[in-house]
Amino acid sequence: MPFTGPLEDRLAIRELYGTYADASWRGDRELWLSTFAADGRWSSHLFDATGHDALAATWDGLWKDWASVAFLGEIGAMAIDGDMAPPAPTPGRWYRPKRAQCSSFAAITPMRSQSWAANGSSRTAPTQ
Amino acid sequence: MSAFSGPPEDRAAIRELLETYADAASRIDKAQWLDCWAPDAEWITSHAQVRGHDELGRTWDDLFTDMDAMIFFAMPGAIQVAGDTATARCHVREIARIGGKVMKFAARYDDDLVRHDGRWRFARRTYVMNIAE
Repeated sequence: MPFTGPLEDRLAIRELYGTYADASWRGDRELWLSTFAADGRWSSHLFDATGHDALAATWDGLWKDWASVAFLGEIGAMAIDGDMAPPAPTPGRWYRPKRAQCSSFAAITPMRSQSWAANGSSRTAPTQ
Repeated sequence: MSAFSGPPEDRAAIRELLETYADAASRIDKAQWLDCWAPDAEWITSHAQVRGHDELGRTWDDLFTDMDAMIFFAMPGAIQVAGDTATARCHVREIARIGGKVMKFAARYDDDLVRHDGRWRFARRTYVMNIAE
């Protein structure tokens, strides 16, 4: 899947990933939640949460044992339907599904043990 | 205020400056790295606080006396443009071989930027360590 669609939307989506990463690095739960649509879904091999209540509960569960997080995402592809572009692109405020693939790196320091790192996971952009 | 604000073309240009900096660091290209900074720019880290290209160049030379390889990834977390100045937050991942030992850092740069001679450059970079491995 290549990068397709209006440049302005692609920049806005890059910035959404940046905001998501920034919120993760700084442990900013509210900012992180705001990057998901109301019915946004976050799934991995460890959990599958849909909607802000479930997302927040998953965040709380993870951060119970985390002292700090480093998160980087490299966006590998974006496909945007030009007819569905929002009037004012704002991170976390999309009006139609847009698909993107992002490879991420995360280094996490647990509260009471050695740091560890996980590489190569991927996720689908939160959509609305 | 939104984490990203200001004209899209300036936000894209600042994103490219962050990437140019990362490219210079990863290729150990001192000239390209220095060119990312405004003439009187300040670089603040836990090791040094330096100002201007001469001091920046000397600090680079000191760092790369013992460091012979580095990769540097940068991800902008916020960019706010106001006319000819801007602020940014950039998260970085550095893997470096220093004195034969591989070290890994995850850190944040708090940045002030200025439009200098028609293009964006760093006016000040402040390094904040997150996780050192």
